[in-house]
Amino acid sequence: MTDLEYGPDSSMLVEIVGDVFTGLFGERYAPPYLAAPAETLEVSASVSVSGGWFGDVVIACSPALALSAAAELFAMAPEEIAEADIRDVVGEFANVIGGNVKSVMPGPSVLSLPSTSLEGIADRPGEVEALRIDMTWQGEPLCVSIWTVSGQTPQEGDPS
Amino acid sequence: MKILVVDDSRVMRQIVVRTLRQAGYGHCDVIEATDGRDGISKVHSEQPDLVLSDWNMPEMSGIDFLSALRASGDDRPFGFVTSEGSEPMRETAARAGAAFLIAKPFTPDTFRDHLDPVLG
Repeated sequence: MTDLEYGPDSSMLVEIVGDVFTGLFGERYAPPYLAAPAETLEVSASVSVSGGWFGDVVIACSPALALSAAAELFAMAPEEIAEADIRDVVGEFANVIGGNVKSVMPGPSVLSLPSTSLEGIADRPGEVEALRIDMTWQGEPLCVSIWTVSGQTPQEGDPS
Repeated sequence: MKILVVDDSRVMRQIVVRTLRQAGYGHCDVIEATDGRDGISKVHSEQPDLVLSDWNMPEMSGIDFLSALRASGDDRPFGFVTSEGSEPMRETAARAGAAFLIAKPFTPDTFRDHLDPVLG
């Protein structure tokens, strides 16, 4: 599904997510691949793009995926991982994937700092989910979506 | 040789440090800062040979950090490691005095390609 007037289609978004995961975790894990939607997406992070294009890039995953990813990246045992570590890791997922999405959108635009939630994907009044890919990584669900205001036209913004 | 890594994300600082090691810079002293303001403080106290900075950070962004260093006459090598590598951002970074911009995700080879010419 894609209602985006600009930017990535689902195959490009899969490629971006795969490149980000390979860059972060190396070649020892296969990158995420497309899978059926899941309901256990309690951990989420998002970044907003504003300027030439306005929208949000959201990543959501299961608590188990967030925990194992944080343990791997911090090289710590899962029981040593704190909530702040999980927010840091999923926030960085959103930051890097969002930055790559921003690169293929009309610009110049500004990328926000990530915001995180442990209670699922927040409501986005006035926005529509224009593109969504449901994936799996290490047997756990992962979802990346792009939200935008429909019908917008490119505008001038400050480069960032 | 001393390298200052500036990023508000603890996990990203850890990944950058690990990549530096994998790229052959394991012999360098690596120090860390959490944003541009902390970065300025560490530049003054630690006198690093190279600064690797994120762009998008609270308190002080990477581009403001670089501009503040250059405005004070500090011309030490400075490179960005950031989540976006569009041409406008690369041009903005170069105009401000950055030696290079590495886009995330990156590899040890990418680090070598950009750091070797700077660190000799």
